[in-house]
Amino acid sequence: MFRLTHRLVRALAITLFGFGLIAQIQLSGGGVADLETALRWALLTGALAAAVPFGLRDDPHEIEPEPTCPLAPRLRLVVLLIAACWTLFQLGVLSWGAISTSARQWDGVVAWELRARALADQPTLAQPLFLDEQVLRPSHSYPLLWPLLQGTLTQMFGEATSRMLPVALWLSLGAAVFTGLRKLGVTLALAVTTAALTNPRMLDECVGAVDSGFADVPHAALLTFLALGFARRDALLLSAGTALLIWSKPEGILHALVPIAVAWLSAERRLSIAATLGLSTGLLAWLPLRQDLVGSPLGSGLWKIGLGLLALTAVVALTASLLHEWSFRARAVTALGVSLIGLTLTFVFRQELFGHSAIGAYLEESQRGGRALGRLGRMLWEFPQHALFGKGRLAVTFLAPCVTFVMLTRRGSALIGMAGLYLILGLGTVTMMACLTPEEDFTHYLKSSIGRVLMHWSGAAWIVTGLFATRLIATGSGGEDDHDQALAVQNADTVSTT
Amino acid sequence: MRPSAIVLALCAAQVAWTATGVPKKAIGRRVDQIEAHQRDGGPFRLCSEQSAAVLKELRDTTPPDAVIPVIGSARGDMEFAPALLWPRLCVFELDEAQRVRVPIRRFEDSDPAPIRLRGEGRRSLRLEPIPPQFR
Repeated sequence: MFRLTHRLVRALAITLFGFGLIAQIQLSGGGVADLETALRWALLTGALAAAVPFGLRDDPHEIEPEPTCPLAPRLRLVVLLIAACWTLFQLGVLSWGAISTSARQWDGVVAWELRARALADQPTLAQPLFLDEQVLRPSHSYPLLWPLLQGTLTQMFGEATSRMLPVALWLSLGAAVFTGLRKLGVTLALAVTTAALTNPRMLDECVGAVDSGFADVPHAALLTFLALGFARRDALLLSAGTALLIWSKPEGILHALVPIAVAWLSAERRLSIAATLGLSTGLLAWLPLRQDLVGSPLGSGLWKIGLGLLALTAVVALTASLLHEWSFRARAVTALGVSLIGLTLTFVFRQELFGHSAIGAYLEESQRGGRALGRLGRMLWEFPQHALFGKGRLAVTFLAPCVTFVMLTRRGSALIGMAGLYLILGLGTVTMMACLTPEEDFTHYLKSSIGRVLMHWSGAAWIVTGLFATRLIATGSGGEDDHDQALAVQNADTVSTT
Repeated sequence: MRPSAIVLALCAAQVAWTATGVPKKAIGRRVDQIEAHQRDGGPFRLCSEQSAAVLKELRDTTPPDAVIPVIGSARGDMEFAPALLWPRLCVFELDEAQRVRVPIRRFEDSDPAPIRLRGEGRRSLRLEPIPPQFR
């Protein structure tokens, strides 16, 4: 069962990746994309990726672990029934909401659905809505993966059906959480999956909800795929997921750096290369289109960027091999230094790299360092209210990994693992973006956006909760078998700290 | 307490917390907003009443391929104009710095409307005739 869902998630990620790559290449230079053919080829590639276990460290022929669920049979039945009924109920509400009307919330109307309609009518950027600076076109520099995909589905099945895309991706978020927790056993993994799919931010009628037209839930699904990539050491998923982040939302460029940092800090050469290749592919496909959209075409500059990204991949590959012998602290200090240099260079060349775009607005804000520092203090005070408690409408999403981690610490097993590090760095990007938001009214930003932005990491948070719980259960009774199992689990999901 | 019980308790808390909002926030509010959307023929409730009325009037009185000249603030309610008026194009009369008046161009066979849409502040849109000298 776990292997099947893993293959389904892989197939979906590779299909999205293949579609995004083909469609964006076709669109570059004002070309007309054949969206239906792009989707068919992508589906074929996805099916191949599901069939071939390339990029997986686990032995594909291993015997699936026996469910280790320590629950009584009657309780297991109750859990399974509640999980099934509740998920079906949510699916019904969200499908009804998605099919009933077009997008009902701000960005869904303004940024995402309008461009999907335009691309469904004419699958090219060579039309006034995209390229004419005199035309009013809000959020014109936003990435195009979701509008392209929704436009394609509109062409093939009609607009109402195409609006089921975010609902399908919400389900795939659950599939990714379930797959990442195979060592937890079917019942507990299903319970955690149900919790991951259950989120007031996703279910309530509000900005960012599954059927609101926003791209937040699809983006959250991609970030969960990456958490699964770390939990299962799936290089292919990691590579495709990193590229997809860049094509998904403007902040995806920042998010795409997180998997590279995690793999590099963990001295995982294979995963470092996979994530860096994903970043390079993502940028090479997206930057030419983005520059067209903001009215300053790249032209021959693309080759320079390509060479730069190739050099980056080589440096990451080489250093990840060399750093394997270093201590975690030395790697962390080096990573911090490299990040600071990278941030400085990004800031210096912000106009050339991100001028006239959403990320550019954030970088401009970084000039007001004093205000950002003031906001950091406020974030540190208000973050727990949004992340851990109910103010951001996230229920116990971020409380769960904290509770399980504290319990692990008390049992002397305080290793966070790659997925845990991924979540921590991800929440770091949320803090950074909040401090640098160009929004003048910071209180309004905290009220209107921070819960939605935190929701991106909810699937990853539940995978981390499940991984911690697996270790907790394995160390629970202290029996010999349990101890062996605990060691196996720790070895499978551990940041090397030696 | 057993770890599995704690995990189940956390999952149950998540579901219970979310379930408390179902009658009002997931169902009630969704029903209201879907009804409003279907009644208005689009998400006009996101704008102020005045802006919604102006956008509906424009949508009802201009052909789908019209070009709507716009002027003033591009933020707030004006952000909805391109989506709510699509496939009509909203075209700025002024350059990005709002200084230089530029001629409204034709797109294919479509003609500019004889009126223009002015954005005043974040929550107010109004229609005004284009002064003859700028037509």
